[in-house]
Amino acid sequence: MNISINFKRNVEMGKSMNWCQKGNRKCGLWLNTPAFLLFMLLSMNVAAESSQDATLPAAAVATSGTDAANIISPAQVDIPETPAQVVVPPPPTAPYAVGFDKINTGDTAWMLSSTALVLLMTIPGLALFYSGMVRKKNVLSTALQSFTIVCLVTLIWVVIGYSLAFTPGSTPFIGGFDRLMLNGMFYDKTGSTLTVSHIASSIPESVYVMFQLTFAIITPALITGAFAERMKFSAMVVFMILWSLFVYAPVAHVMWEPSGFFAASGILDFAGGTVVHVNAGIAGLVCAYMLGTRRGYGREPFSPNNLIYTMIGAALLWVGWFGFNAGSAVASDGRAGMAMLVTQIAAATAALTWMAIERIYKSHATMLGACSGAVAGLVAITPASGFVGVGGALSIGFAAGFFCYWGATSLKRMLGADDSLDVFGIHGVGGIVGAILTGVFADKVIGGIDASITMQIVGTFSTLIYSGVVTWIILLMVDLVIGLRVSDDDEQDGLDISQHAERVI
Amino acid sequence: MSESAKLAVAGLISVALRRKLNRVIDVEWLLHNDDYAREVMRIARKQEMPELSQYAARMDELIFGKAIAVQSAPVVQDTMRKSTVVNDGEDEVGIENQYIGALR
Repeated sequence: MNISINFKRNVEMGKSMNWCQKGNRKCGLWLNTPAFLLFMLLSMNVAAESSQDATLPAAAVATSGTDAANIISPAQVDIPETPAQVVVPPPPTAPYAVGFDKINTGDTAWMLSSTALVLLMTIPGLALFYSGMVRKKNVLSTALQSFTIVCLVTLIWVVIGYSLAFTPGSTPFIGGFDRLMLNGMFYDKTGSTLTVSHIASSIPESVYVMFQLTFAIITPALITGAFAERMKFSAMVVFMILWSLFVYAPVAHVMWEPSGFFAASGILDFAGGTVVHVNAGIAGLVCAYMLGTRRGYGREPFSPNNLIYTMIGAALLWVGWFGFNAGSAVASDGRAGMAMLVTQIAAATAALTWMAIERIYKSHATMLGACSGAVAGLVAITPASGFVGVGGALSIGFAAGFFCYWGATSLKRMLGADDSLDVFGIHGVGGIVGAILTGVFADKVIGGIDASITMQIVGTFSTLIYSGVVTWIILLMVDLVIGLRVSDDDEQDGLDISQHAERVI
Repeated sequence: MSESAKLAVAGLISVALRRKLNRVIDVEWLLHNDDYAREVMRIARKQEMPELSQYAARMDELIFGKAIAVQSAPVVQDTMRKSTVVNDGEDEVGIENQYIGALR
């Protein structure tokens, strides 16, 4: 009997290959063990019977017109009558080519939608969320920073970022150069072949590149809230280019690429609690220290110009977060559904918790508090969204509301930095809380794996240290060459006029 | 000419005048009141700063057109005024104060 192995379907058996390689980092080791081989043998027949796709041949596909050296194709395997004699090929460890029939249209449709949702989080979501909280004279500059980062990171990502983050490298800390300029990625209509990522084998690689690009965009965009109202536009541009290359790409590789150091160590980060939020949070705090406080900070009121903008932005973030978390399942399956459910629960719980604390300590709940609480809950559930159930989501949401309120108020005063829009207080603290609580509430029935609190703490604080130190070095360099802050006069006039010669009426 | 172009130049004049004379102008009123605009241009040119003169010339062109720009501008004493926001109510002061040193 000849049965070709479809890796995704065979490994799935309750947990998808996609999850295995993105959400569950222990798989990086597990896939190399004899136990995996045995599991493959035992599951083969079941998979063959239960899935029509599993019986389809997955022969190495033609690579006409492409660079064959960059492609690893799963080999066709003959399955003899005696399972013990089966030779199972190693799982793909780099992007490879497949026929059109290997693409799951349902997964692809969901990932296309998720990609659009996550991009919506940055523009206009984050742009509005931040713009509403700054003074009127800085509205345009704040929104323009997010918009510019979208353009900048897009180019960085296709030139080198994707390759550094999501291809295997010679070390477990950074990827290789196989996909420079997306070289080797192709879609061949005449040959009915295309490439897929080894991390997401059921969707076209082009879709995976785009999906991950939106994460690479929003992470540096989050940092802009920490240095709002005082950073030179030119310095911001240079800083973001360097930060994307030297901080985001390595951290994403270490955590999400199966050969990455944290991935192979079993540290869990389903959708980016550490890669996105802890990373951006600590970078924001370092920026706030390096740039110093705004003129008049602590003496004059810095009133938000329009909290309706902030509410609209927070709502767009909330909706977009379904693409962020449920999309990280890289499949339109039950796990994505669970991720969406717990995302909603955590956001609502954290928003109510924040408002309740405000009601107790300040005698009134506020719009800004409700928006902040919702975002805090979304941040904290991010690393856990593919691993926890309803109880875990309620707990993480409550903890996020409590600790992020503390982070944006008491901790902020203790730290003494002018983190303008509380990037560390919400994204940093929320990310840390979520990453650690993932180790507490991860449910093996949902995620298929036991989490280690110790390893979660190690992963979180390693990221804090790496991101903080490298961010500091980059800022020093930019300060030396360009200078980080606008002049006092420019700051007084507002960045809209002084940096962009525009103004909101 | 588009309103945004006028506003951009008016903003630049406003910044330069504030730095040079420590004098605040009302940018929006400048766009809507010709007398006020002429007076602002006159003051801007009087400083003999190339940058300000350039902005003033550009603003003349945007608002009046070059032909009108050479006409003498009547002095309007009372139209220069500071663009400041005064919060008289105690409630507003209280709301503002909650944003001192913290956003949340």
